[in-house]
Amino acid sequence: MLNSAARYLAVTAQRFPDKTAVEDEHGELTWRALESAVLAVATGLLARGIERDQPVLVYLPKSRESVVTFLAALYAGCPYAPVDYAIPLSRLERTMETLRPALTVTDEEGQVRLREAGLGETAVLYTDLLAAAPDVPAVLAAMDGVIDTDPCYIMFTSGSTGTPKGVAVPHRGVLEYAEAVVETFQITADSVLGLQSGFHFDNSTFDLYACLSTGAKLVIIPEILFKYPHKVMDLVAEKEISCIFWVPTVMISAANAGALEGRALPRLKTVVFAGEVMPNKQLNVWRRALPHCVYANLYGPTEVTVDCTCYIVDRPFADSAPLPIGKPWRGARVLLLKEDGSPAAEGEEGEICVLGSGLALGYWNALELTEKAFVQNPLNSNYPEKMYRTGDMGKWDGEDILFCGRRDSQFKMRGIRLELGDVEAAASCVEGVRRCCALFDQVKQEIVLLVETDKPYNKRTFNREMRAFAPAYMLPARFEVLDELPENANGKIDRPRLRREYGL
Amino acid sequence: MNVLEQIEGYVQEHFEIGDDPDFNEDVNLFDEGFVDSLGATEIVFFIEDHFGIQITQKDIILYPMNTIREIAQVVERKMAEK
Repeated sequence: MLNSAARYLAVTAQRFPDKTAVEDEHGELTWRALESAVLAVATGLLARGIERDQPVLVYLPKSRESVVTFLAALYAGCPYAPVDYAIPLSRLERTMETLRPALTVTDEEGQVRLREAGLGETAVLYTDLLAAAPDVPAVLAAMDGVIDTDPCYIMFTSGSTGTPKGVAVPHRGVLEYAEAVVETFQITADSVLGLQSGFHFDNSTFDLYACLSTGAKLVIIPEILFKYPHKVMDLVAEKEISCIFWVPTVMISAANAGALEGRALPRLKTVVFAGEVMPNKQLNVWRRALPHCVYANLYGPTEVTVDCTCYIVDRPFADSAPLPIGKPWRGARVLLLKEDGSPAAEGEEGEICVLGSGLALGYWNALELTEKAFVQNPLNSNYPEKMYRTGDMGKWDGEDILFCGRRDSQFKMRGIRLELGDVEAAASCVEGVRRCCALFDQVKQEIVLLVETDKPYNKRTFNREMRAFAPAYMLPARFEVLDELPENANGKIDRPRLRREYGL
Repeated sequence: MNVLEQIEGYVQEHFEIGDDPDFNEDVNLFDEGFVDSLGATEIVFFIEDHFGIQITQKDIILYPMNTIREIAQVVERKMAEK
């Protein structure tokens, strides 16, 4: 068993030195060039005094440079924490307070932004790190010191109080996940993966590590292109992409925009999706347009290393039928537990609870939160066995699990997890807001925000202000100003009443 | 009407913007909420059809198309290349 997920790079760079490893809109790197850059940047990190397990924050655009930096951190024996390059600075500040990075790798534009916000103390330029003369023995010694239960990466997700939570995932989780992906979807050195997800979203683990472990090519698709579904599919054809792992939002917009019509895409073999519910209506558009592809629905929260169940679509579905999330995958065990901790019978709803070595180590620098979510398996009294409570509800349908929604106020936008409390915390920062209430419209899949204020905001002017505190996917699609929010007997905002009034 | 005015007229009418005082040639149509994400494709379809040009995925990656002026610049460049 490998001790570090970055070991894949050393092996692959030996096998395929001159083959393209990764390409973005500005150019490409061969496996040999990738490894050379990684060794240089890792040397640069070590030269700045970084020690094992100290996190490296990566504040770079979705690019080849991000990939180099992640692997360099791992070569130096440290976990990496990717953040969205478009993250509002107030959110980045809270992320950094939780993470306490030893170093923040960025570019010149990012450095200016960090300095202006008073967050520049740990900043170091990627180009400066790359300029180091590689000290290979020192770097290899640092990587030798890693054990497979050390954190590989820390991914930040929405927290209910407005402070993002950092999910720390160990190397063994990533190694196992990569093996499962490669085996299930038959990824080889001839495969070409088209990366949709940003690196701050754990779906990117699929593409990155499947390529690293096999020598397949990683094509980093620029975020902007997903605004134009026809053009994304042009790129899939042009780059001869063979496997995609995209969020349903993106697949739905391609189907709805007619972007699949009249395309053969003979090279595309595997279409995988996860992160939110995939409606059969749009999946059927894909299946009709590209009948030669294998389709698979994955499910899992970041806390179990990306995914823990897999359903290979093996039969026709009516447009209105639900698509199963499948069976436990890659050695994970899934329990559906009722409120009292007992297992749900077939057809009965229970909370999806996950066991196995893919479990995250916990939330970075947040022991209390970790203890609440990672708990003892109530069905095991013989030895300590951690189980992650997902908060998702499911039921057994024969051998497969059907997803039945959330038991709390979490929801998904573009496959990204969000807490209503997080939306409210951001909206409350806007000038003139006394109180607010965020609701989620399950049917339209959009955020409804009700705000108590004297200012004459409309949706556009409000969102313009709110953008300073929230990423774009957190902005409301529906916005209303109220003189006063209704309260219940305890003086709290009466959410059930508001939900009824707004038909949610 | 020049290219910019034609695009401006289309966007104003198609997305029902009217004479909103915050709207102008340099405002970010998407960030400011004048056009939603589906609208991006509609604008591209309009300019391809109306000006007889083909916007490629490379154009979208290389050139920003967030304001009326930026879109007009891309159209003018493509028309000059024809």
